[in-house]
Amino acid sequence: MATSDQPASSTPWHPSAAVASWLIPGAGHILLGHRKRGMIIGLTIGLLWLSGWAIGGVSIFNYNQHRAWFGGQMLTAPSVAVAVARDHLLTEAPPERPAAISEGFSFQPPKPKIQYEPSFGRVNEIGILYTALAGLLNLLAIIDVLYKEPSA
Amino acid sequence: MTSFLLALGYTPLLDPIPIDRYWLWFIIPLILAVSITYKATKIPDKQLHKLPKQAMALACQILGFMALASAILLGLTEIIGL
Repeated sequence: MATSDQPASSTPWHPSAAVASWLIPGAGHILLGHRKRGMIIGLTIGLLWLSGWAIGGVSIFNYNQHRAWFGGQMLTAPSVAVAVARDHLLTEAPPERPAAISEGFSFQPPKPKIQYEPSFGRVNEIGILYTALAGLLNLLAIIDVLYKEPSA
Repeated sequence: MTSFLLALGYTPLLDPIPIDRYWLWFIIPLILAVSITYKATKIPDKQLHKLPKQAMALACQILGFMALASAILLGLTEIIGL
């Protein structure tokens, strides 16, 4: 017999909204009806992530060079997409060879990939820090949306 | 600056931007992003209009504590000589 003394059912959770938040930061909140909150979160995390990418260049998304930082970066799905695209579509610019060495050797044509300059030092650090922190803030948003009550 | 970078063959989002000299200033947008996102997840719906003020207060707190921590570390390493 059901009585009012029984404990209330556990808080419903929203895995689809959490996945949406991982794919596009703030999307989970918008799906649950928290439109303004979702826009604020999405805009803030998106701008942070995009500015980190713009500062450090595409070489900051490198899971072979800095796996721990990539653990933070991968908390936003676009980072994973950019890292995969970087591996398959792009190649690092080769170091310039001196003319004296290059003369007399048969020149190998470059690979048919788009070349980019890798970042180093502070620029690399800032780019990685921005994108990894964007991922960690997105984790906060994902956890928040997972247990959030839908807007009435 | 953009035209200068483009003249050097700079491709946005592929190549890095040379901002090494100003790296410390980039801590401010980072702190703002942390405080805005944190407050956006914590503030109840009815008080969402208070978000800018509360986020700024949190950003100032973070900046203040970081300045304090760096002053203590500077004192320990440069003045006391630990």
